[in-house]
Amino acid sequence: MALPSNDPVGLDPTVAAVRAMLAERDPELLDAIDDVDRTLIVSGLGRDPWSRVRESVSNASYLSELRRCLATTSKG
Amino acid sequence: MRHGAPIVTNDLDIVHRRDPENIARLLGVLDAIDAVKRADSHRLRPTASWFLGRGHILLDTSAGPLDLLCEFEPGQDYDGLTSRSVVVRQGDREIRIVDLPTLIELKTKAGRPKDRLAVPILVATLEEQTRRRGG
Repeated sequence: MALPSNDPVGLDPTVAAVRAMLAERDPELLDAIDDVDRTLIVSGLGRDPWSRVRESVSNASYLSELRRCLATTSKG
Repeated sequence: MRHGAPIVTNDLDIVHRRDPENIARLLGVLDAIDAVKRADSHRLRPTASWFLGRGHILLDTSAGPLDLLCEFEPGQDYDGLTSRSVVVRQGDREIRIVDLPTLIELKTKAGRPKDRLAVPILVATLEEQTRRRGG
């Protein structure tokens, strides 16, 4: 799915090249781009890159702990 | 995540330069974090010859899973990807990571379900980056 012709992002050569590559190799993925929730992306881009990495590590730890707790609960 | 995509992965992928001096340094780091071959009952410790080829070396370490990628495909090794990477700084350290369009290309070519799931998010991130720059 192409960006609207009046969207300047669609005219960016890097974005256009990436979309062209997807159209050739895996067109299903082009449609999926429209379904992406961009609120987390926009929020993340407004923050310092390393704070995003720290948050990522924190999230990974949380998910590991959650997985461990669920495994413990299911055994009980 | 460093590029701004809200994606968390379980492992770290490194593309290393395949020269003896760098591999010696790499082995020193791997020894310090107790790296062993993943899913291997013998818990083999890596040797230099592993990192001179073209394959992907999957390791478990005390810091978590670590994948050492000799090359993605012919020509896409450390030297081939350097021009398609960006340098990020953390204090006095510099880390080189592949740029976002290249990451999208590599994941599209990989074609595994987990890579395909990430591609739309990475493309949306590239577009939002471009929008912020006024592209």
